[in-house]
Amino acid sequence: MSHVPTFTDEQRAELEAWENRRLSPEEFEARVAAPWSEREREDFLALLEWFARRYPTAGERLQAARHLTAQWLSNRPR
Amino acid sequence: MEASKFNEVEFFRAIATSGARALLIGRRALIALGLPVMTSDYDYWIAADDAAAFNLALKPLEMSPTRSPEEARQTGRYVIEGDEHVDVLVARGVSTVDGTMVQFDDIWARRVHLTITDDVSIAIPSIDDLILTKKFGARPRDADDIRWLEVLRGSKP
Repeated sequence: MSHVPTFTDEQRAELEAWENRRLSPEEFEARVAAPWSEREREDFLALLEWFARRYPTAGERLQAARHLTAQWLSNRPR
Repeated sequence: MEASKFNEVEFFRAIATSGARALLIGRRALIALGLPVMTSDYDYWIAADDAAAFNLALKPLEMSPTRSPEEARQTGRYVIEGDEHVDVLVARGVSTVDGTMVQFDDIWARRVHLTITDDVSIAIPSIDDLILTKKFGARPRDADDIRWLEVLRGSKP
């Protein structure tokens, strides 16, 4: 039996509405300007470096992203 | 369920050879630049007069527009659907969340080409302009994308 939490259609719609809400100019700027911790920046740069090394061209990156997104969509709990 | 027949290289080739001034924007452009993010659709900003050419190019891939070019010009956006979903912006200019007017022609003039295969390339906005387009919708994830684009811009030699 799966113990992965799932969402009802109503909860999913509510979550999507929250994720797609339009921020005010102040809220938006504050989110953009939020400081990075040193660890966060290091981890992110390492991720960028890995992605560029593993998929050196734009075509390879787009192809990989399509594959990974399809995989995630088919495996995500409903 | 039948597998999708969609071929991304042929999709980009059709657009590149259509004659339409079309910029890939949104998260696919971020991915092409080197940001590992996820998305399920394609976002394009095209010249207001080029919707017919853009639609015609995608017809052989069994992709159809939800609005005629005339209707699309009035509303400023439309969708092309088939095995994939393409959001198309056709406005001549769009305002950012902080009120800056961004003109397609300016962004187009500063576009960057990225190679997909030996004979196919895509046009995307420069990183600075991509950041501006991320200020149109002003959703939380657009702000996050700008943070990541700024780091990417800083990491480029």
